[in-house]
Formats: sequence, structure tokens, C-alpha cells
Amino acid sequence: MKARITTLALAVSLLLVTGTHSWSQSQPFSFGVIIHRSPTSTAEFWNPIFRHVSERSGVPLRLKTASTGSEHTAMVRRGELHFLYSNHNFINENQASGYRVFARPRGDAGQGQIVVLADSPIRSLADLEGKDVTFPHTAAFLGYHLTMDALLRAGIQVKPLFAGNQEGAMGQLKARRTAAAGVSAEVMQAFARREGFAYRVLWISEKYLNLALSASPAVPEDKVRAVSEAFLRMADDPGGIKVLTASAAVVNQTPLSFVAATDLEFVNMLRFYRTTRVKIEPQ
Amino acid sequence: VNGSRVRRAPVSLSLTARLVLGSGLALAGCALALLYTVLKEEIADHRAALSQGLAEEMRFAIPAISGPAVVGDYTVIEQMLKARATQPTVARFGWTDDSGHTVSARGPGVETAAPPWFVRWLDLSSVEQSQPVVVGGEQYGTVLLRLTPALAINKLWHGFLQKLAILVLGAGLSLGMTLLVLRTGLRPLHALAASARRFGQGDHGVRIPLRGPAETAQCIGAFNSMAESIESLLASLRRSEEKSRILAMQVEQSSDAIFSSDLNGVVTSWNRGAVRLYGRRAEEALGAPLRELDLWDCSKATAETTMPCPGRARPASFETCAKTRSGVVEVSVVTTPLVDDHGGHLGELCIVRDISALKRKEAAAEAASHAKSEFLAVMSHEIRTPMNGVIGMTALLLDTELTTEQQVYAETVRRSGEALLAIINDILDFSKIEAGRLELEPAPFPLREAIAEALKTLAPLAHGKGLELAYAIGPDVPDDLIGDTGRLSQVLLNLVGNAIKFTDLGEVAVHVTAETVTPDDVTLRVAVQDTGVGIPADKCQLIFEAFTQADASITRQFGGTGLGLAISRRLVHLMGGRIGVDSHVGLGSTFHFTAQLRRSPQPAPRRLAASSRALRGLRVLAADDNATNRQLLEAMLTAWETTATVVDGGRAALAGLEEARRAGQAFRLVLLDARMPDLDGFAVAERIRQDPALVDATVMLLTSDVKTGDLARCRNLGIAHHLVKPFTPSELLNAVLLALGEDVDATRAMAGPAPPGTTAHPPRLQVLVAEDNAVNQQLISRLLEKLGHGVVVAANGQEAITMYANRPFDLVVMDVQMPVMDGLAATAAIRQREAGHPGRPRLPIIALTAAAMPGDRERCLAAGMDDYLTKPIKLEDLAAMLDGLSGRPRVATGLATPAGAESPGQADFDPTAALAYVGGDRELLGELLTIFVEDAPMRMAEIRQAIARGEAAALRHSAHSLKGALKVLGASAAAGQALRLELLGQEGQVIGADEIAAALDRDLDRLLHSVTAPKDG
Repeated sequence: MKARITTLALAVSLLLVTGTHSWSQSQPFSFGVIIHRSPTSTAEFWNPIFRHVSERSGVPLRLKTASTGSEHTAMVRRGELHFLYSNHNFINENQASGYRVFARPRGDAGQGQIVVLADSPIRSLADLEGKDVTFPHTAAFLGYHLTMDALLRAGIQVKPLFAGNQEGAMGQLKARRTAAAGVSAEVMQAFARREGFAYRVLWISEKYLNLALSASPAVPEDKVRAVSEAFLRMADDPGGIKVLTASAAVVNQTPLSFVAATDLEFVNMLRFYRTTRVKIEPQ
Repeated sequence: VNGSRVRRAPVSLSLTARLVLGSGLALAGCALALLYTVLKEEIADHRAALSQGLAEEMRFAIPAISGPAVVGDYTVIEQMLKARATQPTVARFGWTDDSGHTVSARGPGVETAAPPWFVRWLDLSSVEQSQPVVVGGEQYGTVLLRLTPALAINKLWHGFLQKLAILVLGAGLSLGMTLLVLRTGLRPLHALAASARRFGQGDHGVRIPLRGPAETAQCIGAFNSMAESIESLLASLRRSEEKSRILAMQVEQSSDAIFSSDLNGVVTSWNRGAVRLYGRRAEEALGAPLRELDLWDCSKATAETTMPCPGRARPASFETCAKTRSGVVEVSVVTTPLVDDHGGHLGELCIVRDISALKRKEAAAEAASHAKSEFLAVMSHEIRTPMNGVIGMTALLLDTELTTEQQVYAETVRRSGEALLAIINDILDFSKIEAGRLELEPAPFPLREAIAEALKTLAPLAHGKGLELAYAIGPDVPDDLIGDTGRLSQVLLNLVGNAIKFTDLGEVAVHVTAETVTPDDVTLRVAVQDTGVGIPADKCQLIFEAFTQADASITRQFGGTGLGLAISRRLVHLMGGRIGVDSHVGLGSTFHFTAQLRRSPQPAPRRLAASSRALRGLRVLAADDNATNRQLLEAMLTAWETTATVVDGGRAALAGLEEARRAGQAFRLVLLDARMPDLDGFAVAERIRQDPALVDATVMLLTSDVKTGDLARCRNLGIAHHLVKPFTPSELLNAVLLALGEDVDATRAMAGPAPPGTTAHPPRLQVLVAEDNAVNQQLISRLLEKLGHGVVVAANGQEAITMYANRPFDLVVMDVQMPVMDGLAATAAIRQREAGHPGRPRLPIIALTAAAMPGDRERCLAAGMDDYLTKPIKLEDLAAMLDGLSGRPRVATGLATPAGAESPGQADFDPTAALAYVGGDRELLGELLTIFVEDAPMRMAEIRQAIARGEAAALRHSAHSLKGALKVLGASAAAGQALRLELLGQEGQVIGADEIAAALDRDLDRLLHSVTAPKDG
């Protein structure tokens, strides 16, 4: 029996070792990405970056996208993704999956704003009582989660409308089809400057860092470190810059670059999600 | 089997079957070609569509599958594939990921409805494509799509069936329509065929009504037209055959021998006439060479076109002898080459006629004709001889002192004789014409002179009736012509004589124009216009018939034989012309005739001698109310290069004078018609005389009739000259020169023969007259003596020869017909004797003939005579003949000084010239002489007075005036003295004039003496 157990234990160990080795050598690590774009655009953006990071780090990475936000959230919650580029891991319900931040995109923290047109008679959030307020969408952290949370905390009931994205909500405001809009402060400023109109800020949030590169606790530390270093060095590596630039061109945005980060830099977000009165719907 | 087997005719399809078969095949061919082309295009389209569909489907599928592939959502991929695979063209749509996991969907699996052969022919196969799905450089799998052509095959098959059905239907309809049209269109063709059969069976009258389509109608029309042509051709052929048959019959039955030969001279036809003439049967002659038959005697052939020997290719007509079965007879032969329509020579046709009987008759007729001619000649001679005596002796009688009663009787005898002679001449002329023996004797002559001379003879007759006789000759009519001037004058005189005869009031005008003028010939047109009784239209042609006048009463009223116009017509025909008349009863007639004359390369001898150079540029005014005369004057004056103005009346003349005077271009010469209705010539002359400004103008009077006292009026009015119409151009020129004081004689000497009476008379000749008739002996002797010659008379030719042998003569006048020995024989004898004495000069011999027959002159000349005179002999002719033979200018008239008389001096009165100047009017001449006798001493006194006073102008005027009078009288020497005085006066001198005046005075005394001396007969 003992021999049988020993044999079984050896077999299991062998299997485990073989399996681990095999996983570590041939199976690529899944890298989940938040759904901001179509799966195809997402793949076109991230696959070159992951190929570069895989080559540099020696850790094979494979994009893993979900069809929907809720599916992505579910994957995060289930911890089945080895790496993440998302903020769904900060949602209160998902924090148990244990993802640890190791890097984040370079850039300032963002702020959410509730804005009206400069000539609007609305002077305070209270004036928005019962009014139409347009938001980008229900998953928008800066434009909806923060702004709606502020309105709810102020006890102001508005008629929420969703324009689909940030500039859609801003366009509704400019066209005077809505009394106010919940927006990202950075995007709003750029939009108003480009469209040539003035607005007035009724409310503004504190600053929040939004997305982070995180690793599952199941991924060995060296792999995480290797991957982290590869990401952080991309901006200094000509090959990395070329990849980042090409990917940015696919989605028509400024090239990303990454800086090292820890969970501490996202504490206010963790706190917000733990205390928010907004019902966060799975994405 | 033996090679002569009749080849079976190929199966003949009807037109309908051919058309249907042909059209069907053509349509089927076209349809198949069309179908093939369309299908090929459609196959290509479907093949392209299939490929395009595949590419498009993949283009759509790859992006659509990329998203789920990235996410790894195979459910979505499967749903998507299944949804796309529902398309009928899709056979399979599949997805295989990198790990080999496959998701696929199959298409609906459309069945092919087309038969396998069609599918094989289409050669359309499935198309397939597989394409990897790569996103962001990562391959997620492969998409496979296969499309099936079944749907395209089914569409093509259905389309093929539809098109085939349409084409079959179209072809069927087309063929059906063709059949329908053919059936209706062929119906007239069947009728055409039936009609053609009937036509071919002899029904040539068959025609088809025009119906059916245009093409068929055209065929029917062509058939009808062809039928018409053939029917007409057949009718023509029948007529031609009938004609040929008749012709052949005529040839065959002709009494003439008619036969033909081919190019080798072999006889090809031989008619009955030939059988009769030559006694050879056709079988004998046909095929024999023409030469061997010896049909006529080539050596005796005589004809205008001689071609006596057969076998030549030229037409010939001749007479010869032929050996016939009845012996040698005279035959006429006509040979004509036979030629085909293209001018190719086929042979020769000969017609031989036995003319022996004809020849005998001809000889008899010739003998009769000769006898008739001889009789005519004898009769002419026998009639003319006594007539010559009657007329000649009467003329001589009239020259003697007669009582008035005797004068009247003698004149009557002379006129009756001349009338009888005219009638006899007419009858003889007509007889000659009828006998075809009248021949023209062309010689060069001056036309204008001839016309004027001819008319001049009738002027007294016209003027006696108070008629104007005028003539005008177109300026384009050439003057030097060759023709029988005698016959031309005869016609003209006949017409003018008739016109005068039948006109009581008005004028007779002769217009001569040229119808055609070439360098060699001229066709004259002479029109004689009168204002007489006229001729009814129905008589206009009748009057040209012999012995016919317009009205029988005319003969009674006017006399005449009625032969004049008939003779004129025949003479005109002889001259290559035609004669006719335009007439209106009561208004007058215009007789006109044409004559073709040759132009003479050399100027004809003419009387016009004076040079008109002195008149060049002279300003002349002429006035005459008669248009014809105006034309004539204008033509003459223009020809002399004067600056002439011709007006139609006295008032117009005065107006012209006045106008010219005002313009400072006064007229130097004024020619006035004496009788003009508004203001006559005398009145105009009087006005001129009264006007000092016009006194320098020389005035001449032209008149048709001279009335008593006219000459005195002329003299009183200072009229320089008086001329009787009609006048010849030379007469007017001479008169003008004389009136202007020009030296006519000098100019004549330069230009040609002198006028009568102005030169010295010819020397006295010794003339031998051989004439058997005593009257004629006396007449000729008297005439010759009048001309100043000595005469010896012989009664016949024998006596003449004897006298010729005994003494010398200068000339012989020999009657042709004399007893004992006629003139021709005598002449021959004389010429023979002359030949024996080479040193003896040739004696001129003039024949006297009746001129009854043509050829008389030739006979005379052939016998050795030099010229001939026609009886009755006229003094002028005799004188002219003598002058001609002696080489001197001819003398126109014969009132010469008697033989032996002293030749008149130049200062003496020349009655010949004087009479000529007054137109032969003795009464006028007498009056003129009376005036001269009164006037000349006065002018002489004026001259002497002017010399004494030294008045050159008066001298010139008086001398000029006297000179004119002297010229008229022919006193040329005295006129020359007067001219010298005039010239001195013109030069403003009188020095030396005394001597000339003294000479003139002496000449004048002698002249006055001769004028006033009693007439000695």
C-alpha cells in the first residue's frame, strides 16, 4: 500500500513536475485585456506588444480577451488569467483573486467631472435635480462611477442618459440636449478646446490612476519579474518603441509606455469601489 | 454506255424549297452562332461571378471570423459559418484553428438540372479558397470556402432552352412569312411563265397585267416590253422580208442584167435579165469568174466615171459594148461595191443595160436638136439682119435734116424696130434657155459702175414719167466681181423696166446688198422696189411663168411679151440665185433676186478715173428727200473720205449750214436735190447765195428731171454744177472735182483711161468691111466714116480675100455668114496667107454675128478672128472695139467728128463731153449752150476788169465760174486757162494774168464761134 502510495505520489509528482515544466515551457501565459475595443482591434494592438515582451522576457504570452466586460470580470474573478491589463481587479467583488500590480501606463491620474455649458442657468449639483444628465456608459470609471457616486451621495436624483462614450456625452451637452454631463476632465478639456465652446464644472473628483498591469499570484515570481522588466524597458528599447508606436497607430492614440507600479498607487480606487453607492454592473 | 449517254438533269428543287431550305439553313446557322456566342459570354460571366462571389465572401468572412477567433468563441464562428452556408452557391464553409480544431458548415446542395453533356460543354467547376486569419501578426486559424457552379449551370441551361425556343420560333415565323410572301409573289410569275409559253407558241399578242410585288411587276413590265419589241420586230421583219422578196423579184424580173460577184470576182447572183442579155443560164454563170464571162469590152468603155474592168472596189458608170447572144450591142454598165454594215467589202454589183435602142433615139434627137439649133441660128441671123438695117438706117435717118413730121415718123420706126428687136431677143433668149443652150460668159466687172450704167439707160424713161430712179449699194458689197454683167444687167433692166412701167407716181429704188461675202465669192441680193400698182398675192408666182402676166389686161395696157420675168428667173437660176417678189396691191412691189458671183482678185476696168484724194476731209452737206438717194450719197461721200453730213430736206440743209457756220466749220460743198417737198434745191441755193457767210460754199444741184429754165436758174443762183440722176460714182466725182475747180484731166491721166471726147481721136484707119447685105454695108460704112475711118466694102468672103491681097488694111470687119465664102473661111484664108508672109503684120479681124447661139464667139476666135460684134451694131460698141484693137482707151459714145474733118482743138466745143455731162439730153445741152453764149462774154469782161483793177478775189471768182462752164463744154484748154487765172487770183496776184486772159479770150472766141455755128448734121 505504501509502495502503491509512493508510486502514486511519485507519479503525481512526476506528472506535476512534467506538467509544470510543460506549462512553463510550451503553454503560453494568458494575458487578459480589458474590453475597450473590439476583440480584433484589441488583438491588433496587443499581440505585437505581447510578442515583443515574450521575446524579451522569455515568457510566452498569449492574448486572452473576453466577448463582453462581464465575461472579462468573470475571468478576473475566477483568476484564470495569468496577467491583466485592466482595472476590474480593483472592483470589490474581484479583489479576492489576488492580482498584484507590477506596472501601469505612464501618465497622470484622471478626474471625473460634472459639467454644464458656461451659459447654463445651472449653478450647482442641486440644480440638476430631476434633470437629464448624460454619461459615457455604465462602465466608465471617471465619467460615470465617480460622477454618479457624487450625485447619489449629494442625494440628487437625475435622469441618467448614456451616450456610448466620452465625446458622445460631451456632444449632447454642446447640442444642449442634456442639462449636464459626466465626463473625464482630461477628455473634456481637449474636446471643448477642439470644438470651441466653454463649459463650467459643477463638480470634480479627486485624482485616480485607472488601469494597471497585474499578475496572478499563480504566476511564478521570476516570470512576473521578467515580464515586468520587459514591459518597463520597452520605452527605452528601439524595438519596443517601434512596436508601441505601431500599435498606437492601429487605434490612433499616443503610444503607450509603462512605468513600475504597486497596489498602493490604486488604494483610492480600491476604497472607492468598496464604498461607492453606484451599482457597478459587471462589464 | 457508249459515251453518248444523256446526263440526267440534277434534281431540281423549286424556288420555294430552295428559299425555305436556304433561309432555314442560314437562320439555323445564325441562331447557333448567336446561341454559342451568347452562351459563351454567359459562361464567362458566371465563371467570373463565381470567382467574384468567392472573393467577396472571403472578404466578408475573414474580418467577421477574426473577432470570435481572437476571443476563441467557436460557437459564434459556427453560427456564422452556418448562416453564410445557407447561400445556394456555397458548397462548404469551414474554420480550422491552429490546433486543428475544425468547425464547418455545408451548403444547401443545389442539384444540377442540366444534362451531363451540357455540363461537360460548359466546363464550369467548383471554386475554392482557404485563407488564414491573422490578427496583430498572430494566426488564429484558416477559413475554407468552396462555391458550387450548380446554380450557374442551371441558369445557363434554362437560358439556353429559352433562347433555343425563341430562335426556333423566330426561324419558324420567318420561314412561314417567306412561304407566304413567295406564294403571293410567285403567282404573277406563274402567270408570266404561262404567258411566255403562249408567246413561244406564237401568241404574240399576249400581255400580262402589271400586278404583284414591284420586282415581279418589273419582270412583267420587261416581258411586256420585250413582247412589244419582238412583235414589232417580227412585223418589221415581215415587212422587210416582203420588201426583200419584192426587191428580189424586181431584180430577178428586171429587164436589166443584174449580177453580183464576190471579192474573188466569182459570180454570186445572175438574174433573168442577165440570162436574156448574155444568153447564159444562171447555172452556167454562177460560180464562174466574172472576167472569164467576157461581159463587156473594157477597151471601149466611155463615161464620166470609167471603170471598165470588173472586180474593182470603186463605183463606176460607163458605156461600152457587150457581146450578147444577139451580137455586140451598146450597153451602159453601173458597178457598185457591195459593203456590209461595217463598211467591209463583200464584192460588187453590176447592172448592165442594153442601150442600143436608146442610143439610136438619142442620135436621132441630137440630129433634130442640131437641126433646130441651126434653124434657130439661121432664123436669128435672118431676122436680125433686116432688123439691123431698119434700126441702124433709122438712126442714121434721124441724124439728117428732117421735118418735124418726118422726125416723128422716123422716131416711131426706130422705137417700133427696137421694140420688135427686144421681142425677138426675148424669144430667142427664151428659146435658148429652154433648149439649155444659154451659157453665161463671166468676165471681171466693176459692180457699181455696171449698176449705174444699166440704170442710166432707163433714167429717161423714169424721169419721163416723173419718177425718182434711185439706187443704193451697201458699203460691204465688193465692187470687183466676175460675172456675166450683160445677163446681170438684163435681169436688172427687166425688173426696173417693169417697175417703171407699172409705177405712175413715186419712185423706183434699187438696193444691192451682200447676203454672204467670202474671200472668193459673194452672193448679191438685188431688190427693185417700186410704188406702183402692186400684184395680187395669187399672181406673184404666176408672173414668173413664161407668156404670163398678172392680168391679161396688162398686156393690152402695158404691152410686153410676158417673157421678161421668165427669162430673168432662168438667168437668175443660171447665176445660182433665186428670184421672188413681195407685193401689196396699191402699195407697190419689191422684186428681188440673188446671184452668186466670184470676186475678182484684180480690180476690174472701170470708168472711174479721177482721184478722190483731193476730196479727203472736205466738209460736204448733201440734202435729198429720197432715202435711197441719201444712202447712195452717203456711201459715195464716205468712200471718198469726205466729212459728209446728209440731211433729208431743204430746211434741214439750211439748219445744217447755219449750225456749221456757227461752229466755224462751214461746208465747202453743198449737194442739193432739186426737187424736195419742203424747200427745193433752188430755194436752198438762193438762201446760200443771199448769205454772205455761205458764199464760199460750192453748190451742186442733183435732179431727176431737167425742166426748161432750170439751167438758167442754176446759173443765176451760182450753182456750180448740175447733175442728172442716176449718176455713177465716177460721174459725181468728176462733177464735184470740176465744180471745185480741181483738174480732172490730170487725175484721170494718172488713174486710167480718159473719158470720151477728152483725148485726141484715134488715127484714121483703112477698114475692109465684108458684108453681103447692102443695108448693113451702108450702115457699117457710115458708122466707120463717122468715126473717121476709111472703108472698102466686099460682098462676100472671097471678095474680101481678093481685096486683102490687093491692098493693105488696118482692120477687117467680117460678117460670119455670107454667100460664096463665109467669114470663118475667109478669116482662115487670110490667116493662112499671113502665115506665108512672116514679116507682114497680123491683121485684126472683127466678126459680125447674130450672137444667136452660144459658141459663136469661140468659133470666131478659133477661126482666127480677134473679136466679135453682135448685130445690130451700135456705134459705141464699134468705136470701143476699134479702140481696143488699136490699144487705145475705148470710146463710149460716137458723135465724133466726120472722117477727114479737122481734129478739134482743145479750146473747141466738145459736144460728146457736153452731152455726157447733161445725161444725153440734147435739149438741155442746147439750153446750156444758149446760156453759155450769153454768159461767157460777161465773165470774160469781169476777168478783164478784175485784172485791170488788180482785184485778185474777183479774178478768182470770175475765172472759177467761167472754168466750170468751159469744163462742161469739154473745152479743156480754155478751162485750163481759166484755172490758171483762178490760181493767180487765189494767190492774190494779177501779174501775168493779162497774157493768160488774152489766150483765154482767143479760145473763147473760137469756142463761141463753134457753138453758135449752124449744125451741119
